[in-house]
Amino acid sequence: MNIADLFKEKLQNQSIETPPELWDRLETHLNNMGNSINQEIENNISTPDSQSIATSVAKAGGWKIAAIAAGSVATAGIIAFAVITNFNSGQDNMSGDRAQMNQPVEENTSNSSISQDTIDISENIYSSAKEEADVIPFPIPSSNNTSSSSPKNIDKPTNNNIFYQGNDQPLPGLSNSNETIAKVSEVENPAPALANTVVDNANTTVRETPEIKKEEPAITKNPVNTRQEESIPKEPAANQTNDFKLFIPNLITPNGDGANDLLVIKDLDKLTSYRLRITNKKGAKVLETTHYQNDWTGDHLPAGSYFYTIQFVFEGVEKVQYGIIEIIR
Amino acid sequence: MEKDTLLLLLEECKQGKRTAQKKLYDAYKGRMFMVCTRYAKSRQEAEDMMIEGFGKIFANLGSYNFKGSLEGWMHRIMVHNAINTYYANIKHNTTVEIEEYTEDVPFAYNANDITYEALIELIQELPEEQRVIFNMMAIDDYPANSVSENLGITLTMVNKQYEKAKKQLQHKIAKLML
Repeated sequence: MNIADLFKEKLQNQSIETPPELWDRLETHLNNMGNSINQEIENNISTPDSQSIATSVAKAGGWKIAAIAAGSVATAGIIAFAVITNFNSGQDNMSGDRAQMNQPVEENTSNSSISQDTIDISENIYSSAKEEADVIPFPIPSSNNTSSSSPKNIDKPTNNNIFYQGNDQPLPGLSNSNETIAKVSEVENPAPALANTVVDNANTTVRETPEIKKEEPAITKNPVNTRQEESIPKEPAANQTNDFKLFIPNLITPNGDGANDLLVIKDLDKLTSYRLRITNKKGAKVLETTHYQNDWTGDHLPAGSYFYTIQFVFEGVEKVQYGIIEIIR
Repeated sequence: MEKDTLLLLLEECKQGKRTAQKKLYDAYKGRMFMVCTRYAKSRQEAEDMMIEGFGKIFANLGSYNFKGSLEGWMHRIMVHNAINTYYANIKHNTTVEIEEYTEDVPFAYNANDITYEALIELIQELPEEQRVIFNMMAIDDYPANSVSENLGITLTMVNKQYEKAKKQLQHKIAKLML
């Protein structure tokens, strides 16, 4: 004997005891099915407007005036409806049908009460949302310790910040603390572009005066003892009157149509020195340069959000600016 | 049930008389609930399927054209209802098969050794897909290609799952009889 045959023989024509309350549930199910049909007919006959308004308001949830208007229409509808049903039930003898006839009246009243409830709830939600909005303000970056006052400029880099992990080098031309000055004097490998005349000057002038003049930039390579610089404060301490800010677009569309194809940063030539870094969402570097030619088109990177960080020295003050660049292709 | 009374009853059911519907329900409830219990994974689900299935039966009595028995027609509606439930279940349930039975177990039992309640329990323990396939093929005599059409599974997969289900049941019965 096969196992399938066993199951077939035992179960195919077997009947099983049915719970007695199942019929009651089935009956209510059938009633609901019947009612839904009857209800549609009734609604079409009597008061389609009040019904539709009330339900739509209940769905939309919470325009007070509209709901009150709908409620009044609904109550008017109920009265008219009750008259109609009484009239009908007078003619009809079947008790079951009468019960079904009366059903939609209750439906109407419950509908209006529902819409009233939704008003209360939605008002509560609205007020609570308002309170929250009062409590939690729009996040504004802290600006208590640095020179720039614009909210887009976040001037205090912390060691936890993603933009500052890794090779933190002091920018050349920086002039604020004595330690930095010492660092600048330790320059060994000046960058070829700008440094041919300046390094000696930088060495001497920096040693003598705490202020570097704007006309004497010094581009440096990293000194040997990079690791010791972590304790150096990166923000300027003295010069805080300067609120210069670079304009960096937050969107480029490198599709070759001539508009916003390139990442163009104005006023780069006014800076003493700068380092521009662009990373993707995972923090991987996609661009790092100290001589940006306003020619970045996204380098065939996938569309999405990228983050820029630009450290720059302007009139002897080091600043950091960072934000998001969206690439849309 | 005699044919004349059945016709009369059906006519009354179509008019929506509760008493007639109750009579029809009482006449077939045992077997139909059996079908639901086999396809469902729990008694609760079986009851839901029963109510839904009878709702469909009463709603579609007009489409019964007196070819074949009424019971067979109702049975088919119940099975299709069970398949709908299966579709609803696999949407948010993924069955993970833990045990894989590879070796064969000799099968030598009498049908009288085991009660049908025990068999129902065994069927209900099967994974969703295997339960439906085993019910349709082994007990309700659906051919494999019809099962494959109804469930939207390939024919080879149906046969594979059917064999798996049989093997599982065989092992479970062997355990039960020890």
